[in-house]
Amino acid sequence: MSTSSLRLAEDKFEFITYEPIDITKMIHTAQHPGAGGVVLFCGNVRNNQAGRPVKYLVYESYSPLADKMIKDIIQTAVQNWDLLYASSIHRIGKIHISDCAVAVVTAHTHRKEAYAANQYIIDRIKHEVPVWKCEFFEDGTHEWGQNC
Amino acid sequence: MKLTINTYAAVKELFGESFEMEIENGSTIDELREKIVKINPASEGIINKCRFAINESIVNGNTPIKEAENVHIIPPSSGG
Repeated sequence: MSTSSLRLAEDKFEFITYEPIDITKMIHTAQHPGAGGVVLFCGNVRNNQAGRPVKYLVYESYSPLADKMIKDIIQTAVQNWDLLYASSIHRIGKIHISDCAVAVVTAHTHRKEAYAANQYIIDRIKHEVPVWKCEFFEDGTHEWGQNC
Repeated sequence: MKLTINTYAAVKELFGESFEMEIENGSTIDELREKIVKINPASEGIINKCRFAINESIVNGNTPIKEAENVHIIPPSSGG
């Protein structure tokens, strides 16, 4: 499969994207007149892994399953915390230092629930969803990441 | 029956993006896992940590595999 057709295939997913994540749009979409707390989490690309200099990351996913799982996780969080709004998006492909690889937004009447639900969503995405990062180091080597 | 197995991340580096295997009708995911390790003993550590998916669902080890199903080896997640 060529890169362009692969990109096209990935573009149909709601929660997985090759494009940069528009966090301004995400937080704007989460606005709700009843929301006293809107929490946005950005998982950004770090310039080191345990002190070892990182040049960039490449993420890949089994997108049909990843998309479905993120949707289920968000729905569960909405039900558990009675959220007014929740969403998340995970970027895949080559991502540079300080770019956002994953974002989660939650809105609730009160901040406590917005924070708790946001953490629940990102924890489950990191541990369960079939997305993998490969760290490319400044020394020219690469390594599939352990979650941390 | 012949099965196409899709791989990702560290497992892809060991087996390529996908590979074919001949398995007996009615074989389970656990039997497939054992067979994969026999083909490439160096993969045992990672393969034993992987989940398996059929089509677009994660399945248990005792799930039987049917003809023409797509099997995916899912290494431990490292997103975020």
